Amino acid sequence: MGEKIPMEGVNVSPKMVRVSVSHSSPEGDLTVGFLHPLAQDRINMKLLITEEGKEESRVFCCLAGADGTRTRGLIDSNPDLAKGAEVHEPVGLISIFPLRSSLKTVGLALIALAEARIPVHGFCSSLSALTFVIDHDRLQEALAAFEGCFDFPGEGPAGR
Amino acid sequence: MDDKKLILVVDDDPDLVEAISMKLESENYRVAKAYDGIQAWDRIKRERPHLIILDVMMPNKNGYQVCDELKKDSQYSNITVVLLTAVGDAVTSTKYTHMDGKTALADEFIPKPIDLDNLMEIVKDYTR
Repeated sequence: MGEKIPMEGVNVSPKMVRVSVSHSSPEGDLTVGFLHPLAQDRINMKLLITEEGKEESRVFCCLAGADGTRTRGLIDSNPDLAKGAEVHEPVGLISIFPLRSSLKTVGLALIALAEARIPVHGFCSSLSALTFVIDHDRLQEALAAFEGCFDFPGEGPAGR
Repeated sequence: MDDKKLILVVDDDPDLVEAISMKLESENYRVAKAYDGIQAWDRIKRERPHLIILDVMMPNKNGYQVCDELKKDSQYSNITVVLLTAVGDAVTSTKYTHMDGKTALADEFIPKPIDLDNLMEIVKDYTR
């Protein structure tokens, strides 16, 4: 194992629900059929990934665990939406920061999770953080795996 | 000696900390960062910032507690505190209330989502 990369911190989320919805109709249907009702119901998304293809559009998002039932109800009330929907819980988010556009950080994190045999539902980067969506009951293992390749401050940041 | 004013940015959202820091650095400020109330106190004692931009909802120790302790401590009470509040319409359920905010001794309050230009104006006003 090489030298650890210094990081400023790591965040671990509480239990969340992972929702993926796909739709083969023209783009915009998912916005109207799924995202708009979520907003109307004041359901916050911690993470959102959207994809618009020629034949299909997809939304992948993570919501607070407490909003799972309401979200399932919202999806079930729309048969078109329910066909292409998948709801999985509980998941958790683990974010390390700062990313500083470092591909090495992405690579090391992916290798650490793979070596710990932790399935990754999705991952994304942002202005500062690199975030992985994994099963909630594997978060502590993921944290331990990351501590093998990253140096975190002694006094733990949010969620540690 | 570096005469740039030091601003401490405290929020558990690293992206927000980064965004505010980039803006402050572009305006010629030095920036220290912390991601919860305990880290904030560590930075305050070690680096003694001129001004603190402090989020309310944070783990370990929330922004109201940090602000309260700081303003009651004669060693640090003259440090300007700008509280970032996201209580009310923007948050559906929270254990914090506007009443907590009204009794907090912060010098300035800014609601989230933040208008960065407005925040910079306030920072400039207090660091002249």
